[in-house]
Amino acid sequence: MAGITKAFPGVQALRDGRLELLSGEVHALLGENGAGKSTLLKVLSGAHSPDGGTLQIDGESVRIGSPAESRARGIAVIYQEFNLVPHLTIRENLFLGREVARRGFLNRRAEQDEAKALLKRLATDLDPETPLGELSVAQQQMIEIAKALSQNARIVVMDEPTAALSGREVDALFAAIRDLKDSGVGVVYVSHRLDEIFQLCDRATVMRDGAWIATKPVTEWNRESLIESMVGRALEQEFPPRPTSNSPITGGRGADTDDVRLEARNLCRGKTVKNVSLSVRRGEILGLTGLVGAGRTELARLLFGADRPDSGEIFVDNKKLHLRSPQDAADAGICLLTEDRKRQGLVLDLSLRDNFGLPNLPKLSKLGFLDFSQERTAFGKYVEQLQIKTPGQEQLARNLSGGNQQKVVLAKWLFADAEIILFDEPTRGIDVGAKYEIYVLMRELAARGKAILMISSELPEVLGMADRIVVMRGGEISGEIPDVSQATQAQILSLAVH
Amino acid sequence: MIKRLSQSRELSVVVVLVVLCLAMAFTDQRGNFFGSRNLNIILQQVALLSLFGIGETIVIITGGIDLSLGSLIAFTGMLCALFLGMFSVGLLAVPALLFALTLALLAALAIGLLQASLVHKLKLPPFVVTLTALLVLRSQSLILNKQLPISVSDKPLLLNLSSVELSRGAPLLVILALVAVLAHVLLSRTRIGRYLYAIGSNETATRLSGVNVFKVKLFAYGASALLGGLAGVLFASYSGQGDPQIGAGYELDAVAAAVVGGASLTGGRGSVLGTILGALLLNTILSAINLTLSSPDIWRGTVVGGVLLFAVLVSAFQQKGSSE
Repeated sequence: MAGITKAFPGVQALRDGRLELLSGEVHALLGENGAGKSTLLKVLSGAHSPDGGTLQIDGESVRIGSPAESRARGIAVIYQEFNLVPHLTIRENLFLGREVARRGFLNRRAEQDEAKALLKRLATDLDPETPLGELSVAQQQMIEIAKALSQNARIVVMDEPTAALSGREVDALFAAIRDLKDSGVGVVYVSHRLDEIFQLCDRATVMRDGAWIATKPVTEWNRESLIESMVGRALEQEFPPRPTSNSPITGGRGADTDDVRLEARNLCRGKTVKNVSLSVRRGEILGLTGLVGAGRTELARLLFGADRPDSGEIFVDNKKLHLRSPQDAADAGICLLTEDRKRQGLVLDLSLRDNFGLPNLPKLSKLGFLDFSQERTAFGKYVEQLQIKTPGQEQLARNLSGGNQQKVVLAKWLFADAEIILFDEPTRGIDVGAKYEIYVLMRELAARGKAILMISSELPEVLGMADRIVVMRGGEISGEIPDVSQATQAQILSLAVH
Repeated sequence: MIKRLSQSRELSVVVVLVVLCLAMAFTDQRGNFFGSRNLNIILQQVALLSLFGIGETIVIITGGIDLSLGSLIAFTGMLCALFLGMFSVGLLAVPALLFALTLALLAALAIGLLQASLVHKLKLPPFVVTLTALLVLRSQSLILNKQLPISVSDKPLLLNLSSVELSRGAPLLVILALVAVLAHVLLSRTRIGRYLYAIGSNETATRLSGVNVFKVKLFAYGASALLGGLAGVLFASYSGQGDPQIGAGYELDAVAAAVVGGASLTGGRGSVLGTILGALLLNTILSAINLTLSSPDIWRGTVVGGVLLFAVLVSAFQQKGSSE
């Protein structure tokens, strides 16, 4: 692909999109959100038609007018949101739209054999007759890859495939990708996790502001140079500095050891959370990590009243709470910034201001009538304070970048007087520059005396941000690391896996 | 102008209405269409459909649907006629009517609240819950007086309620105006209104924002049933009897009016003004075919269906335009 341009009303999404993919190569495509990666990939997948530029496959100039043409040319795109049908089995999903049939009658046997062969090639021992809905996210991802393989794809595009996976699952995915590579398939790999790029990829292309910046073998990149070319300036560090020892509120790095703001005692819920006790102190960022499925999100939902525990107690400022709904938790000053902002954190089709008002309407209305001007003023303050970049308060939440969306969610809870903030994967899907801003905000909040529980799968983030680390495994707390300065990724991992 | 027109649903419905009226002005030589008798009928039909159409719209905004309205109209009409007969024996006309009205509306409200509870607490699909109510209430209406209607033709107070004649104070139009203004203010300027749209757009995110979703749904289904009940009483007034057979299919007319007015069955969209205009458009078209075709009844479904399909196509076109 060379010199690809694409304009949308008001935005030049692509000015100079370029990508060269060799067969048998894993090629990283990097850039901040809005850099034009997804537009470029959508041109490749036939979802958008380009305004200009050329696209060649095996040296032959082609035009891709529709997703069907793209598939016919051997291009398979695996999006973050899977295109699978939960009620059908693995086999039925694999063959959806290209069933093996004669005169309309399905040849189940032939499909089964081919499905088994495909699954075997990916080294999974799944039964093709399992309903897809019963699979984990990682397994579903495997099925997406199998589907791409079954269509004889020669070019596979993966958009942040590891966003929802945990360490071991990532290993399995990487093994599958290396398999693809060995069989001559070219893989375009989009990820915000830089570690993965160095582990997996052969070359990396960086885009910025809709244009190609550089393509180099990964051996010629390093973490700093990648980030630099992505944000277009040198970043001194990935994480803001820790508060110094004479910080007035916390009186030292970490937290005020005596002032426990949130405490959980012996929380249990089914098989997901088993006898969990933990506490978060004033001014502290407690990092909670572990593999996906270790019960971290489930624990956060208990603390937020979204689910009810079978047993156990929750205290805020030493007062026992009876949380029956998120409403109760919000009243007690607890808020949850969910990992899935688009589905759980924001109402995408409402304006930013409406989203901001959602938990705060009792405060922003008189006798049930909304006070629009008060709402505008209050939100305006937070837009400024949190530096939310938006053309206006009336903008739909859908149209903002991940980092700014996260800030809007944070704004709505800060205005709701949240004192205990549960961050579930606070920077998932957020680009490098905006990540730093979120980190700075988290530090500021802690310095203002809030108690922060940060759930994260990204170990560098946990090590860089948390004052204290708790690791979960199989629904239980498997260990605590009180002094982060001594902690290593290996130490956390050994607590996280069996 | 064209751009604005293509974006505002209310405006485009008005334009279609104007075109339709102009067409009638030219083709309808004898002046039947614009005769006061015909206009009165249209006005009554529009007002009645708008009343429960607004209720339907409120439920549709939350992403639900209320299929019970047709039977509810019959049921509350029967109840009102029944109570009125009972109370008229010992009471003066005014308190008797007030008691009967109140009881019928309370029954409707209770039915709405029950439906909301089933939908929210037991996580049953609104379609199934309200379909059940549609079936049960129809049969209960028939049971109430052994399949027979209950006449209210000797109760002038009730009969007058559905009048749209200015000389009689046009009580039906006054009721509609009150309900419409109230509902419009509620949807656009109050807390509960904002919650209704938020739930219809993304219920999970709304719940996780600390909003009591159950309360909002109680309101939505309660309001729909209450307006359905009010329409039921007014239909009894209109037809001079509590009629157990009345209202079959009305719930779908209400859905059609809401959708023509810009409501989306996936939730999060809809307005009071849109629904009233939708009701106006549907009834104007129906009246037009009534006057121009020799057998209008058999064409009714085709025409309503055609209008509905056209409205949905326009919505799809508009959404595509705004998402590109």
